[in-house]
Amino acid sequence: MKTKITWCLAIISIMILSACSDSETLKGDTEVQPAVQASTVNYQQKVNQDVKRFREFFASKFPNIELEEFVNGAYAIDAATREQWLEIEEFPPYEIPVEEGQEFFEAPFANGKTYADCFENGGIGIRQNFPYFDEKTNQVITLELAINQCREANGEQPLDYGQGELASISAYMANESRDNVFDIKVNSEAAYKAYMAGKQFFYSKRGQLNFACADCHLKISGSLLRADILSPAIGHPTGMPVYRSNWGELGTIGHRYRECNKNVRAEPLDYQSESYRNLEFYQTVMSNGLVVNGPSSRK
Amino acid sequence: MKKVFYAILFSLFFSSPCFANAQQSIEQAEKNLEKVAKLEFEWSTTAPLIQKAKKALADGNEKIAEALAKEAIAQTEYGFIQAEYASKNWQEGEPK
Amino acid sequence: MKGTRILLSSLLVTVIAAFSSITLAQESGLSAELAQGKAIAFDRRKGNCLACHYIQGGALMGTTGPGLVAMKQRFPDRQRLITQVTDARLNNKNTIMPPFGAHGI
Repeated sequence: MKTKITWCLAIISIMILSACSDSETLKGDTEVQPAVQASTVNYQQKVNQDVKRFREFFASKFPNIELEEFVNGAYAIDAATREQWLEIEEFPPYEIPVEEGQEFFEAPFANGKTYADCFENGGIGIRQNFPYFDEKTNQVITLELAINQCREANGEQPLDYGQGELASISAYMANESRDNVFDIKVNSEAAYKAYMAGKQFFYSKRGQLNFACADCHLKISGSLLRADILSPAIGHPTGMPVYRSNWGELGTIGHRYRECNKNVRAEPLDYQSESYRNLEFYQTVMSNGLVVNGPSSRK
Repeated sequence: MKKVFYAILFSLFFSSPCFANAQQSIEQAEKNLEKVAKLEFEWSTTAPLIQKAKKALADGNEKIAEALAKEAIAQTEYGFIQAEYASKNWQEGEPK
Repeated sequence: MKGTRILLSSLLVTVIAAFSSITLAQESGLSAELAQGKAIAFDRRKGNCLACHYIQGGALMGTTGPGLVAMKQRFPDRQRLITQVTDARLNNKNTIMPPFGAHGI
């Protein structure tokens, strides 16, 4: 009993002492590094340097692979699985979802309008412009978010973000944009902040297994995890949405992010959470110069 | 480093005999979980541990409940450490 | 916590013994521990070492980490090997190996 009291007292006194010496305690938020101060900074230039370094990393890791091949994920770098994949692509499993997506896309809302009324060029051939940073609302707008915003603006209920109708619409829109080149801009301080937040997410270790996106998909990309080849991060967003045979259906990039987080035993974030949108923004910027090849099929 | 020190102190404090109480540990775990979730460094393993602890407590297994809740608390504290570490060192993973 | 300790130590015994020149059959005293360690190393929900490492006798092994061969030569200091499994960050701060002990994996 005596030792118990002494133990308690000792700890309490240490706590009080250290609290007195410094008032800093566990904070509820991470500190975002102030990236830049002056308004004259050329953000696009800074970002382009990142893109260059990113590309150079993969170019030296996979010296025999052409840049444009990276849109094909692990199949870009592995001849054996590539053969099987090419066979699957002859009768692609996303064909039916794309057709359904077109029907959904063209079906008028209750008010008589359609998705085409919400998007530039009637929504055709525009996939490469997403995600973009919207200076008015000060946030990253992904294609999936824009689809649901369109619905809500027309008095319709938003769709589920992971799989199903929305993924099919996204697949149709990607399919109509194939071979268009991504060129996502980062032109303002606010856009750069979102970009940097996405970048920080990409390089931060999380979950019980303590993995960052970059650990598997940059540092050790190309090596085997059990029987699976870790895909290089460059080109990740170009083929979205993706039909994964282990899902047995089409899913959005958000669905894949959540799955990845679960794999490292980190609690997944909400679909279209600010962090996931920023991550998609960063990843797509890193894939600038590559073409839209979504929807795609993967193991 | 200071924050890590506090985290350790914190866990010491709550693992000390003054707080040998399953209910309190569960509450602490839930509080920590909310914090670590806000930081986006929650582990997917923690909430299930808390659920198990609650069930054990409801079944009258105070000791097991306590142990499970403590483990949950420890996981949230590792999450705090990860958040702190990442905020300072994330750039180390960047291609040079 | 104590359970984890025991699991880890038998895991280590496997890792060390499996690659020393002595065959499993000769190590009769250790064989039970060895079998336990091997089970953990090969179990997807536990050690799952094969996800990243080559281990003699394994199947569907990853190539992410170095093959677990010649461990006695690579880790003459046993404590360093223990640390590598419990918290590899202490051996190399930029490691990507999960901290199995520290994170209670």
